[in-house]
Amino acid sequence: MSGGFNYLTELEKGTTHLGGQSLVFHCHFYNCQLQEAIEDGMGSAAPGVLTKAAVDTVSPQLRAIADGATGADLLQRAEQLFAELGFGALSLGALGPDGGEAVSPHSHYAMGWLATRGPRETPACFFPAGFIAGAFAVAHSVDPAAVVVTESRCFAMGADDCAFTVAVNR
Amino acid sequence: MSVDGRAVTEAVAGLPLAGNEEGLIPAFGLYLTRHYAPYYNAVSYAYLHHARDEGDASLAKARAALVEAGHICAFNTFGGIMLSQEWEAVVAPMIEERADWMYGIVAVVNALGWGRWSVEDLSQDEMRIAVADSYESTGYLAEHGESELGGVCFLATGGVAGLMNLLYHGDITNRPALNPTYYAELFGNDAGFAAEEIVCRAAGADRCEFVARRQ
Repeated sequence: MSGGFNYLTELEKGTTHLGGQSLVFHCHFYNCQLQEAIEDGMGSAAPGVLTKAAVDTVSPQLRAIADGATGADLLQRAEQLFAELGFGALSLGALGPDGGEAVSPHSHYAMGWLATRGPRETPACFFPAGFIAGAFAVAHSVDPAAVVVTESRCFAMGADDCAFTVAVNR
Repeated sequence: MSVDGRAVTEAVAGLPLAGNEEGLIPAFGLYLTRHYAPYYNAVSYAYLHHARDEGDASLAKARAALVEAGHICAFNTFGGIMLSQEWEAVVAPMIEERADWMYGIVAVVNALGWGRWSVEDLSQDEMRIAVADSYESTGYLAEHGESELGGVCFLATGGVAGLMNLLYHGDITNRPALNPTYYAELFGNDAGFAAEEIVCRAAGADRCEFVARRQ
């Protein structure tokens, strides 16, 4: 799967960038261990931190690589990026300007959590939720802080897939 | 050293590590992501600063938890790579002695986007590694300025300890199963290696330097 994204890799520096953001390889063991550490250490503040960090990272990158795309075209670009980077499959086609539902039939975080820790009682996909919020905000020129994404079902909780409700506080 | 580090780095950088039809990257017995360094930095340092504000005990716990995530990373990612077909094809033909495993995996690390790692000194009891442009120090400086908390490269600290535990405490060359029992054997007691970041770019140094020693 290739979205035709233009990575800037500088092997002499050991860095890779896309759309101004530094990209690094990490596996599901590390991703879930780090998330668990932050959830344990920050308690009720953790979900907001984990999600907002994704919004703040993804939004400027998508603006940088949008190449003029907006609305549905940009959301399709975001789906390609999400998959190419290994976060899973993501369907944003049902989102309109006022929000809607996004679905991830395969989520790296949910699958990784289930594989390494077993089922959760609460949703696992904070990064994907933030990614969706950031993509939606850029696609529809909405302040990212006004976009609310709630994971309504999660593979890590026993669902068949992960689903996210997207709403806008106008 | 018989390992051609640049050739290894270039070979790994050329691997087609992108999402499949499910948007997943299965490789080296893992599911990889090509993730955002600013995301890791934002969440890690939010936790670090939250813990700092709670007091010394919380700060120590946060540091340990972030380094432990590095141990987990090293064990599974570095271990998985050293047991992979790609390792057998690219690195193994260059290996003449045990230390070459270390030079080989460090060359692989240099294709991961983590900055430029180099082994400064290596024996069976100690390793010193320098890192230029570590993504952790880069991110900390960009968002928070110079660190008043000392070194901030927790992932790299855990990673350096993990490398020594895989090669000189355990024995990755014997192709062990990378399971929880083996992890506990390598990291779950005081017999293995621990690492510290002795200087950090985020705390004013030119580069980050780490030392791993037997505990």
